[in-house]
Amino acid sequence: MKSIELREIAHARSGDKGDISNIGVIAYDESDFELLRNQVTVVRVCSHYGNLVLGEVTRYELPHIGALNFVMERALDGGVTTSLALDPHGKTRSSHMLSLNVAVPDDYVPRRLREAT
Amino acid sequence: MAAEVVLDRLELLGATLRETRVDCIGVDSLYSSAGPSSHAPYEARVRVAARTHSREEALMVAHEVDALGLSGPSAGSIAAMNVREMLGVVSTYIPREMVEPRIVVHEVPR
Repeated sequence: MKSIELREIAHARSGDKGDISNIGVIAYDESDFELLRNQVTVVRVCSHYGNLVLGEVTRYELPHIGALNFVMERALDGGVTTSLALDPHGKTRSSHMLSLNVAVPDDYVPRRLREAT
Repeated sequence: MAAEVVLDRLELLGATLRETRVDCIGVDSLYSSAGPSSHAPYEARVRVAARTHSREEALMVAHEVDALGLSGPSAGSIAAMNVREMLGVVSTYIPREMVEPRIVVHEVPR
C-alpha cells in the first residue's frame, strides 16, 4: 500500500448556510467510492479541520454519484455576514479536504497520470 | 510584530473592539492551525480585521494599520484599508407565544 493525497482520487466543493460549512467530495472514478467511504471518515475529517469546525460533523453518502457530503456545524465564525475571516464563505475549505492522505494499493494509478497516457 | 503594534496601540488609545482577527496571508489566513506547519514563505501579508461599535473606532483601526508604513517594522509595504458597515443576517429562535398565525384563503378566478 502507498499513501497519496485525496486530490489524486477526488475533487471537492464547499458551500455555506449560515454558520454551517458543507463540503462535497466526489470521486473522479465511481469505482473509487468505496475507498472514499472507508477512509474519508467523520473522525478523520474532524481531526483534519481541527479548530476550524466547532460543532458536529455529519457525513452523508451519495453512492450513485460516488460522493460524500460533510455538513459541519459552527464552522464559519457565525456566518458570512458577520465573520471577520478573509474567506467568510469558506469556499477555500474544499481545497483543505483534498490534502487528506489516503492509502491505496501500490499499483494504483492516479487520475493525472492516467490522462497523460 | 506589526499586528501586535496595531493591537497594543488600539488598547492604549482606548478603542473598544468587539472582535479582532489577525491573519498572515500566505501562512494561516485560510486554515489557521489546521494547515501544515512549514517554513516561512518568502513573502507574506499581515491582515488585521476588527468589528467595532462605531465607524470612528473602525477608522482608528484603519489609521493604525496605515501608520505601520512609516512607524512599523522595516521592509513592510503600504497598507490597503477598508471600513464598512456590517449588516448581519443571523438565524435565531423566538418564543412561539409571540407568533399569532393567521390563515387567509383567496380564491382567484381562472
